Amino acid sequence: MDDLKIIEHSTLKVPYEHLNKMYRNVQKSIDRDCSSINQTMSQIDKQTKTLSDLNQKAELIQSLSNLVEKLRLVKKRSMDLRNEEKEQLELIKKRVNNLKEHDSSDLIVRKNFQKNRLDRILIDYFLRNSFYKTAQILVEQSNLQQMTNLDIFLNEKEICDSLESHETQKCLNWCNENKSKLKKINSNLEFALRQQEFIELVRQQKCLDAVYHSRKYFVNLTPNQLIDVQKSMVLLAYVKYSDNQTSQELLSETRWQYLIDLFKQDNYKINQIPEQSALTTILQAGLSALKTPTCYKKVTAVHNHNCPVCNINFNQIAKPLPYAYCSNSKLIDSYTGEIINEHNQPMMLPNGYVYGFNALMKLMSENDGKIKCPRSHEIYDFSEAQKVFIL
Amino acid sequence: MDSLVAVEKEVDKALDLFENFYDVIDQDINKVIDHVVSIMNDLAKIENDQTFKLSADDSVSMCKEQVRDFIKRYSEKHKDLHANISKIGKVIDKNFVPDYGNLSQINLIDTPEKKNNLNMAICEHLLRNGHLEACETLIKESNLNEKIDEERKKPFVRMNYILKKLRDKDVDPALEWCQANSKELKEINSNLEFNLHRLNFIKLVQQGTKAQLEALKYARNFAAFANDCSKEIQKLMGSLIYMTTGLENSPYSSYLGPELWQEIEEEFTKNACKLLGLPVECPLYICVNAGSKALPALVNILQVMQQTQVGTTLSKDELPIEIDIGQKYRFHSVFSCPILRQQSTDTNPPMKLICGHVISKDALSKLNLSGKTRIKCPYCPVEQSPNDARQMFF
Ligand SMILES: [Zn+2]
Ligand SMILES: [Zn+2]
Repeated sequence: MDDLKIIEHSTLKVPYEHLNKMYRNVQKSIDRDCSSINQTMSQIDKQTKTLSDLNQKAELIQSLSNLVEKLRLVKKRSMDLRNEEKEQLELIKKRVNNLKEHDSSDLIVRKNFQKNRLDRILIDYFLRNSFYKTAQILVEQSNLQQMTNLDIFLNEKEICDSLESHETQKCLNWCNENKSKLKKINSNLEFALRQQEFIELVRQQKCLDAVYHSRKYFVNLTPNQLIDVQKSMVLLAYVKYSDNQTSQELLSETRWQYLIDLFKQDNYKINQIPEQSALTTILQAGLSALKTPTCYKKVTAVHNHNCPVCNINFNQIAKPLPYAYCSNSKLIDSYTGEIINEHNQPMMLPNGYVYGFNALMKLMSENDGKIKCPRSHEIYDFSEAQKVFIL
Repeated sequence: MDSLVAVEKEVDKALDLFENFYDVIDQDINKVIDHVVSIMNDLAKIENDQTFKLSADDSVSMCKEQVRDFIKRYSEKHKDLHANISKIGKVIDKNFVPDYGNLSQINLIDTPEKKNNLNMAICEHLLRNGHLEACETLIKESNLNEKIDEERKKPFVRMNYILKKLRDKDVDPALEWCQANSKELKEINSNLEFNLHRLNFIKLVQQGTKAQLEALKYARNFAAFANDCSKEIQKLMGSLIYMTTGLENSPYSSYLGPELWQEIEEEFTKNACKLLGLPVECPLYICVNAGSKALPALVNILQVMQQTQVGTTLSKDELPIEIDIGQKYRFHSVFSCPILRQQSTDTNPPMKLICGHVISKDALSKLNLSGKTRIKCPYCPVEQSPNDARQMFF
């Protein structure tokens, strides 16, 4: 398995899902056009059956000319539909071609791919966390319009904003647009929105309207939904809600946040966007693979400010993660940063600190032939250093 | 790669079929239109009641047939294309993994502090890569205002300017920066200034004979680097031979590619970050690169663990497999006890035996279970007292 397989599913699946949706709408549009042509044709047919003399000729020719008009319109629309479908297919192709750079034989192309991938992952993270402007700027500056799903998230933002200002209509429209998909994933969103509308009516003391509303929309309920409805209906029975916990919950402001979260979840699902951001999952794997016990040792540790796990921004984040597994010792000289191995033998000073042979040479040249331990500052002769064997 | 080719194949197939479908439909619709128009023309010429009725009956019913035939084909042929569309989806699902399995179960960023930390790391990444505007917007949108002050951004603004100029193949601002920081750059053994001069020199050589004198004059800049870069200077001066015939077909063609310019950007960023006391390479970039190497292996092992019912989540102590993230990304010594195959910790540190062999403290205790006063080294014949072992620090 390679990283493309793990990370890039949604890069291709999201535009595919869009293509699928578009295809269905195109089919609907075609069927509408066909039935409209059919209708006109049937009228002409009927008209022809009742013909009796030449006086009706102009009328018939007019009808036929209307048919031609309609056909030309359909022809024009068919070209638009063709472009729509073609563009979306080509978008998937462009994404495929971009991903191919992952394995390019050209180092620069590969490096650029990695850079762009990080930008894409960040844009996804920004969008999920509602940093819309930051996302837009980075998309533009890095030229990633075709590699990111900005539109879906901007559409999402609009609906979230409307829910935040306590409006249900936009979200209900969205539910209607995606009816069959939502049914497939057993979405509870539309019900929850209708329930909220009911609650708002009660809040405004429009109890009768609330009853009408409930009769209209609370039909074909699942057992769980029925329980929710019953809980909401109780609101009608109380004059004051303050002393009842369930009622308080229902009337609470947090229910709107719950609706926003519910909508976002369903929006991700039907657009094939993973629930988790790629950034946090990749970070989790990366930090673990980099994490060593040394990153958290306080006393004897060698600080290496190039290490991301030691970095102040990641140290706490990586804390609960497992350490990298390391079956063989891998030694790095704390002074020079060089690898310690058979070509750069490990040597231990009497204070227990270990350096590579090269580092000792360097230390001696810097201090008149004496070794000053960079960590304990004790001074030794080279003869005091002992060769050690790390297997 | 195969997975990408598989998807592309299906997309290409669909593209062909769609093009073909719309081509045929367009022709069909033209035929229908032509037909209706010809009927209209024919009818217009008729001046006799009887002929009109017969002819209208006849041609309209023919037209009806053709129109019905067309709309049926239009709708049904498009419906048929669905098989190809859904095939694309199936190939994507077959070749790519839709989720990270149980790996995504922990919530990595579970406190507001960690969220701030992550956003700070992203800000640093954006600053390092010349996305000053994106960084400033992120600071606003993620409420990091109090955490990043203007002073911290200042050096990056200059850095961004220099990088932008380098992208336009203008090395002068970078050279100025080198001269202003020459002492510090010398301390870190930087070759940046020489490499910048080299690029300027190559630019001149590329211009051909008309820049000959200028190139010779510019070469004097190399004098200061004679000690450290003598080989490369020799090589550069040799390029003057090809000034008339052009470098393209000379042993110097590699000087013309984009590599040197890409490298100089990276080298400058690394030098500048080092002087600012920042990590040489962006920590976020390292994490994500290491992560994309580790992720497939981890998702894979979790699947295997589930299938063999060993477990469903990763251990909290140590990853179950070794992941090779490359020497470049190794930042600390790791001592792994050759006997117990465990990494050393504060409570189980590496111990040096008299003979110079190193084992972990736990392994040493195991050798000495019976409390003997003398033990034998597991790797050589030397006998010694366990008390003579010394703790060591890497
Ligand atoms: Zn570390
Ligand atoms: Zn030994």
